[in-house]
Amino acid sequence: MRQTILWAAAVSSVLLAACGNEPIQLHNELSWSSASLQRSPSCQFSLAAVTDRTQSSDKIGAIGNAPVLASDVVGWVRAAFEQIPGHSQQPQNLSLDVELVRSYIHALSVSKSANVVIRVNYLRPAQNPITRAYRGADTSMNWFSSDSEVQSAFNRALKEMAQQVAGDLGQFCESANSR
Amino acid sequence: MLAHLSRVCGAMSFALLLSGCATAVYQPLTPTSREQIRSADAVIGVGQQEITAQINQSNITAATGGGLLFALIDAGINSSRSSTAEDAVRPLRDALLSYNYDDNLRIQMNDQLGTVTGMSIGNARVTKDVTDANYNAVYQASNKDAVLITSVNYSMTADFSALTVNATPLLYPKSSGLKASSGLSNADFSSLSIKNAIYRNSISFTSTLPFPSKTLEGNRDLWAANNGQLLIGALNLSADEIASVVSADIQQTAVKGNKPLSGDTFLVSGPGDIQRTRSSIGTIQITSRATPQTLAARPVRSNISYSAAPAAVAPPAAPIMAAPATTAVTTNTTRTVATAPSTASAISPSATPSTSNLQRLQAATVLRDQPKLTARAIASLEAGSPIQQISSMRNNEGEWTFVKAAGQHGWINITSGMTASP
Repeated sequence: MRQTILWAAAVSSVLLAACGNEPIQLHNELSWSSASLQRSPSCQFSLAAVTDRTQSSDKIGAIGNAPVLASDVVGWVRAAFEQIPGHSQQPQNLSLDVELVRSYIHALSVSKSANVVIRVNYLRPAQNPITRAYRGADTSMNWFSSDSEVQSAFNRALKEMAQQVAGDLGQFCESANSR
Repeated sequence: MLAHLSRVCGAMSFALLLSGCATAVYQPLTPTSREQIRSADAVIGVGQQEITAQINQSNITAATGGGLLFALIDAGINSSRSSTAEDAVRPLRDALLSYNYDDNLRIQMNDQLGTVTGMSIGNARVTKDVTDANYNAVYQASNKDAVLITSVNYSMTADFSALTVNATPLLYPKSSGLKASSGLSNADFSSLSIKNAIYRNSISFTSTLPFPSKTLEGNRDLWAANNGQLLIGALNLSADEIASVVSADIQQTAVKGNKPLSGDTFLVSGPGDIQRTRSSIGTIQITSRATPQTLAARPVRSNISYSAAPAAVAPPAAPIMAAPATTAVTTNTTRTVATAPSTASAISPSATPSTSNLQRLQAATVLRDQPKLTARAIASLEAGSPIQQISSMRNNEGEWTFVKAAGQHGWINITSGMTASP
C-alpha cells in the first residue's frame, strides 16, 4: 500500500512537473571541482575573457510554463574554466578567449535537456589563434522541476564541456610553449 | 480509493499536458475587421534556442486502459527516447551554430507582411519568451489597431526523415473600435485568450528527404552534410513559405469545407514540388521534398501576392557572432520578386495619398457579393466611381479586389471589369 502511494506520488510529480509556472532560479554555483576532470599533462593556461554571444538574457529556457532564470551564466562558465586543471590567474603563453554561444535548458516529454555551447579561441604568442567549438549537454528525467534538479543538469552540461576543453589543452600547450 | 485518486491524478495530468498543445482552429479575418486595421504590431515567438528532435511517444498506459505501472514504463521509455533523440540531433545543432533561423524568419515576415494591402504592419520582431505573460505584455504595450502574434517551432521528425515547422498566427484586436466590431470588449483582453483572436490558423511546413536512409543516423547525416547545407536550405524555405502564407491568409476570406468561399490561392503549387493545401478545417499544410534543386528554387509568389508592391529586400541577417572559417554559413536571403497583379488596367490611383487606398474606377463594372462572375450583383459602378480598395485575390476567373464602393462592400473583377456588362 505504502509503495503504491510512493509510486503514485512519483508518477504524478513527473506528469505534473510541467504544470507550474513559478520561475526556476539557477545560481552560479558549480557542483563539481577540478579533481573530477581529466588532467592534461603540465599545461598552464590563463583565461583572457568570457564573452556572452547568446541572444538570451537571464532567461535560459523553460520547463513547461516555468521559466528557468540564471542571473550570471557567464560567471558560471568562467567558474567552470577556472576548475580546469592548469588554470592560472597569472598570464600564460596559452590564453583562452571564450565565447558563450548557447546556454539553455528545455523540456522533452518527461525529460529535460541542458546545453552549453562555447567557442574557444586558443591564443598563443606569435601564432594564429585556433578556434574550436564545444558542446556540453545533459539529458535526464525531469522529476520535480525543482531548482536544484535543474541546477544539477546545467552543472553536468558544464562539466562535459569543461572535460572536452581539458582534453584538448595538451596539444595547444605544447605549441604555445615551444616558441 | 487509491485507484480512484490515481485515475483522477492521471486524467488531470493528461489534460494539463494536452492543454499546452492546443492548435488554433481556423478563424478567417472578416472583411469588416480587415477594413478597420490600419496598423498592427507583429511579434514572432520562437521559444527554442536550437533545432529539436521529436520522439515517438510511448503510450502503453492508454493502450492498456491505465495504471501506475504502465505510466512508469511509459515515462521510462520516453525518457530513454528523449536521450537518444538529443544525442542524435547534436550534429545538426553543431552544423547550425552560425545560422540564425530567428533572424531569417523575422526578415521574411517583415518582407511579406509589408505586402498586406491596407495594413501597415510594424517591424516584426522575434521574442524568445513565449509565455502567456510575455505575449500579454506585448499586446498591452501596443498602441496599434491590432497585434499579430505568430508562434513558431521547428524540429526533426523522430526518424529524421523530415524537417517540420509549425506556425500559429493569432491576430488580436487592440483598438476599441475593432474590438467592438468583433463583438468583443476591453474586458475580454485583460489577458489574451486564443478564442478572442479575430484571425487565427495553424500552418505546418514539412520538407522530406526524397530517398530516406534506413536508419535515423543515415537520415541525420544527409541533413548535416556540407555544414548542414540541406537543412539550412529547408529552414530558409520554411521561413519564406510561412511568411508568404501568413500574409496571404490574413487577406483571405472565409473557407467553407475545403472550398474557400472566394477561391483559394493557396491551392496553387509553386514551382518544383512545393505544395500548399488547405485542410477541410482551414488549416494550411506546405510540403516539399528536401532536394538541393527544390531548396535552391525560391517559390514564385505571383500566385499569392496582392496588389501592394513587394517591400524592399531587407539586408542579410547579421551573424550572431563572427563565424570561424570552418563553420561559416551565409543565410540565403535572395528574394524572388513577386509579380504584382495587373490592376492598372482598371484602377488608377486617385489624387489622395496612396495609403488611404482610395481610387477611382477607370471603367464601369459590377460590385458583387462574392468573387465570382455569376455572384449576385450588389450595385453597378460607373467609370470614375470612387472605391476604397481593401484586399485583392486571384482565382480562375481572374483578379478580384474587395472594395467599399457606393456605401457597400463587395468584389469587383479587375480582369474582366472592362468588358463585363453591368
